[in-house]
Amino acid sequence: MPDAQRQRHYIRSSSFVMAALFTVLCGAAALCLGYFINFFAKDHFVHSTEAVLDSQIALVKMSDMPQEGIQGDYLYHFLDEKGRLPDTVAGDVSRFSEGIIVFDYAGDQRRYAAKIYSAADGEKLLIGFDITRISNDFRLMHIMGICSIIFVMIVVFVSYLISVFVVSGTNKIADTAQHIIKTGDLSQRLDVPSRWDDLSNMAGVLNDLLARIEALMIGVRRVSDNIAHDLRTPLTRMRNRIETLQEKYNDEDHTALLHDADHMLRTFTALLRISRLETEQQRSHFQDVNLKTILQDMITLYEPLAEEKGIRIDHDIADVTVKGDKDMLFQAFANLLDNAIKYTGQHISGGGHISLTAAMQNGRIRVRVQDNGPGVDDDELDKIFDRFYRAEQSRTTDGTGLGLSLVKAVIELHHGSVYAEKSDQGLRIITIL
Amino acid sequence: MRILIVEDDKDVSAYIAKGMKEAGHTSDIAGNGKDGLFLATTEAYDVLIIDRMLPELDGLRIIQTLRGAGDPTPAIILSALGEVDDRVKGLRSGGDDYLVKPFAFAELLARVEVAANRRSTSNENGAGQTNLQVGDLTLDLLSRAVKRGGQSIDLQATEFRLLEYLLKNKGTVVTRTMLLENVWDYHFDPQTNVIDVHISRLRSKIDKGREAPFIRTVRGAGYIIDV
Repeated sequence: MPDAQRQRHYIRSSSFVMAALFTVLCGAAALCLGYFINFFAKDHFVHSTEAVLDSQIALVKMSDMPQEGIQGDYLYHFLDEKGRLPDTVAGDVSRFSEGIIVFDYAGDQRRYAAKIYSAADGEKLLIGFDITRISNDFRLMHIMGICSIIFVMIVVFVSYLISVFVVSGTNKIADTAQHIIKTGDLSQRLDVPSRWDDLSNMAGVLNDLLARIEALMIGVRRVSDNIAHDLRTPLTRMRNRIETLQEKYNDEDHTALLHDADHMLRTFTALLRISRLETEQQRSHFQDVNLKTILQDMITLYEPLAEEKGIRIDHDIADVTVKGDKDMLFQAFANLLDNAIKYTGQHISGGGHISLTAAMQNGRIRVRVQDNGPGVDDDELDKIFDRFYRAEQSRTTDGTGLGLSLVKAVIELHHGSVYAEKSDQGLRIITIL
Repeated sequence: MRILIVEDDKDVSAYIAKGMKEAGHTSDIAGNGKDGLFLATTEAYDVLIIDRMLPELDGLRIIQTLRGAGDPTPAIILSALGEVDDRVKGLRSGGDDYLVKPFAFAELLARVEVAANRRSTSNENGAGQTNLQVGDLTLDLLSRAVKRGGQSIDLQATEFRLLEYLLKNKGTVVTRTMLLENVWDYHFDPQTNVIDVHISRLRSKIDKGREAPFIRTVRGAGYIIDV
């Protein structure tokens, strides 16, 4: 399979879609959570800090000016006349919120949030509140936020790896299964790299299933081979005895008997052949064959016979190649043509006429065999491919009644389909390959 | 001709041996693969007729073993299996021809004679021959010209190939199935006798104005060009 197709498969695969969805949801959840925690915590923090400071200012307003210095969680510092911050504060100051500043106090190396209170006498007092613990918590939260982003990215990466693993694993299983279906070779097995993961486990189970199917197929084949061997051999013996008798007496009765035995054997052989085609699905020997060559060879083989019966064969065959078995395809189309010759209306004015066309249509080969015989009733159109089906008017015609069943078995072995249509003239059989 | 029949069904082998005797050939019978291989390696035969499914040793293995030892004796595989895969396997293992049971004895006899003939003509200089001649009829493979009694005959491609195959196997009976397989190169089972029409067309061209047909029909078997 080309890489581009594999890639497309990968993008379209359910595992990939699931992984992508998971990633998006995880990321969104982490972001939402982070944002809300950050937003609410900060908001709450700002508000509570402001409230604490405001209540302290109110307290100071009501009572005397406090002593400069640290009292419990609070810091008091008078500003000079120009309103400048003291040196112990001046270092790293950031605005925290409207009217609130945050700084590391040089006196005790702790972090304070502070407001400036202007007293009635024009004195300015810096009132600070120790927020070291909260600030540290905040920083921790920040780190945790970054960590969670990293985690989400790890999740994304791991789920990508998992989806790649699952997709390539299932693709491999699907490819092998497809190959088995195509070639009909049941001896193939899926690759089982280990037993620890679910996919390998599934592949192992599928392999057991394949082994079972193979054993059954071999059993079926053995049974049918044995039928072929055990029943055809005595039948042949009988036929050979009749042949000896026929040679000895050389009369009509023995000739008729030999003819009957041959007919029986031919029917038996055809039946076995169809069932083998249907059960074995052997395609391993298929190769590219030119359908045009096959159809033209077939026409040259049958044309003299048709001419003798006053039937004209028209053909328009495109140069098309198909993967398959040359002899089987020849047999299938020869049966169709043979059938058409058998039933074509020679008595119709203008004589018998068969038209055979082969052309590409929607990427598939379409072969049409049309005759101007009596045709088949509408309700019997799909029955003509059944075993031993014979149209009412043709019961007397010599044949096994298996010709079209064989056509169907061969065409289906080639992954094709065949159906009959009623046309204004006679019968039309369409084969899609 | 001396023929070895390796076949586990006694009736079939007796039937073949009896037919061969009537046709003037002698035959030995082996009832299993081991005996068959032993006889094939120790005695000299013109043709081997080997059944595919055999006790002791598979028919294909016998042929493979013989071919591996450089024994080129023509081998005809008999089988109750008839699908292409089997035929391909049979021919790939070194078999010269493949015949599915049930078969008419005439079919087997024709194939045995053609197989034996092919070996002997290719041993001589038959393979390089470009001019085939029987009686007053000549066929030139290079110029693709056919003449009878000095008069040139215009043949179509299929008619030419039919005549060529019959001439190459002159003196032996050629069956309709053999013609399909060798002239058209398709292994298939025609539901009608399509070959007969081709033969009668060919005859109408080469026998023009003559009494006795050049290609003789052998009832229940096929066609022959008598030498």
